[in-house]
Amino acid sequence: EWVPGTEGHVVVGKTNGIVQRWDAYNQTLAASWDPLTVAHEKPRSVFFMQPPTSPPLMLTCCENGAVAIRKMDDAMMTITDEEDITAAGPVSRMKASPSHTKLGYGGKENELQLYDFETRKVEWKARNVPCNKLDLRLPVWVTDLQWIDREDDRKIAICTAYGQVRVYDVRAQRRPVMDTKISEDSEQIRLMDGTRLTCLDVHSSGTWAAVGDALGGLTKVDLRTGNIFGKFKNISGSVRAVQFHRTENVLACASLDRFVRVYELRTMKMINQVYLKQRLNTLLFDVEPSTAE
Amino acid sequence: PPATMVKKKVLGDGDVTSTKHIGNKIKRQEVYNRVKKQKNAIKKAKREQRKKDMKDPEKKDLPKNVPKTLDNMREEDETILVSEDEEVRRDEEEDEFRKYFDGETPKTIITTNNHPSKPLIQLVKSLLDLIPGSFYYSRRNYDIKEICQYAGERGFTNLIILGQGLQLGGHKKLPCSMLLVHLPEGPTLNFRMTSVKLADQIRNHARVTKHKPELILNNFTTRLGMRVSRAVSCLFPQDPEFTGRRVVTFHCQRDYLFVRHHRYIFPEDKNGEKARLQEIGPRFTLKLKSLQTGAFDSTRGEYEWIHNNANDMQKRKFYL
Repeated sequence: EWVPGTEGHVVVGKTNGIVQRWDAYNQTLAASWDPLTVAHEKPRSVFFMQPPTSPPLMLTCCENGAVAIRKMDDAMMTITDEEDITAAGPVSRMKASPSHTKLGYGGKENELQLYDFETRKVEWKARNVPCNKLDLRLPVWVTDLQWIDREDDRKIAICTAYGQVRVYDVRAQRRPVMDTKISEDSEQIRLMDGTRLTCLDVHSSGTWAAVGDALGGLTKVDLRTGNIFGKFKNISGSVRAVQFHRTENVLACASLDRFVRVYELRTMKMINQVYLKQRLNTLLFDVEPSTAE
Repeated sequence: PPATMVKKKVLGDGDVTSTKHIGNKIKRQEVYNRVKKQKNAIKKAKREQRKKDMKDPEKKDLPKNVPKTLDNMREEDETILVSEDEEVRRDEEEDEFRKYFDGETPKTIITTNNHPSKPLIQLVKSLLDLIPGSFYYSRRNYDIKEICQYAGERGFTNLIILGQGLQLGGHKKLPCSMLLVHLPEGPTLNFRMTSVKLADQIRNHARVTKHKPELILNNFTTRLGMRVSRAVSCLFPQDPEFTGRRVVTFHCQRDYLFVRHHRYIFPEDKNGEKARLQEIGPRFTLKLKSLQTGAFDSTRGEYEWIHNNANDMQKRKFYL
């Protein structure tokens, strides 16, 4: 994730728990922070928060739910205070709400939850959909979440490892307001359950989202009705990260087949693909329209 | 007779050879046949010249004399490793196969799907000879995930599961797929297996011995190809016994892997230039269908590469 207030500095969490800040343009390491305790390993999300009442924070959320909160100074270089809280259960992704007062997270068998930072309590927890026709409980595995409106804390879209894309309205109800399933039907793999969706990004208009899955599909889903508009084609490996460009009509995705691909939104065609020799995990857009990290 | 009264004109370059203007059918046919003969003579002369040029050491490499094949018209692929790459080397040092390349001996489980047919069992027996350190266990309805777990606990490094299918119009169930799982957390490769020929079906085949074979991996160019070749080389021990003169070849061409097993000998009189080969053991072709990171997981797995029918439309693009 980009370090706010700087140009070109990125914060990265590594599997052994170390968090590093790199200067992305010069490719130099600016700072490195060790994990708080032994429990802090395999970070799933590293991000910054600016709550109205406290100094800027850097949060690292790990797979087992351990969250390290580091209060930073204005330059985001040194830590003034460290705190360690535990979120429930296995966490796949944690993000800060647009108002920077809440944390949203979810994981395997761990429903989407909103944690209020000021009261330090779980303020809202999602409820599973009703049982299916055979009266069986549907399994839950939240893999990615994103607030739909960049200003409002209210609506959240998630994607699950069972192929479901869901929209929750925090003020309306605990069950999802919209729920669709994306199923893959290629000649290799026929799944009854729906493919594993890995990442999600919501378009700035708030009406649709691009959802990537483990089989190399990148699907365009309408968040209001649940319709599937189409697919961005030609990806051979699992899509690990998707992001829309803020101003241009373009999205980029990084996948396990070692390519970063840029697609034009209107035509759904691939504009460019870059071979980066490693299997890729995350992706961020730069402020200028021409680069993607 | 009409033929003698016509001037016989030799065909030159740029001559109009159309016979449309001749109304008389007999005459038209005559002219047409004559023209055709001359055209064929010209073509033949060109063909002979081309053949000579291909053998001529000076003219051989001219672009117009080199025949175009699918292999040399292959589409440019950025992932093809051109030279030693630092990033690639470090990536390979840290991948799932590093234990093998650090010196671990491979130990393979071979199993099939339930109720294997006779051809499949015969193939299993061949594979047990082909791959040193391999053991056969019958499937008994275990889930593949369970097999991976139990095998990992017992120190196995690879798992091969052979599948069978009914051939078109036949009654026999012949081997048709192979799942290669590298055990502790390694990638899963799903292959389609075709053209299986066992030792008994090969003329003048040699006897297999217990020597550790040498391994030849041909023509794996792209990153994906490198990964497949590493996965395949993990089946065989790293220290070949050269006295056994046994060699297993995985030749990759146009995305197909040809697997052959030979005994070679360098004849004394030819000063070690060209070896004579005698084929041992099974011969089959593999085609990669998908590569999954992590041990086998059919529903929640993440794939590094899946074969897509849409990509077959590009006739000159190969992935391995």
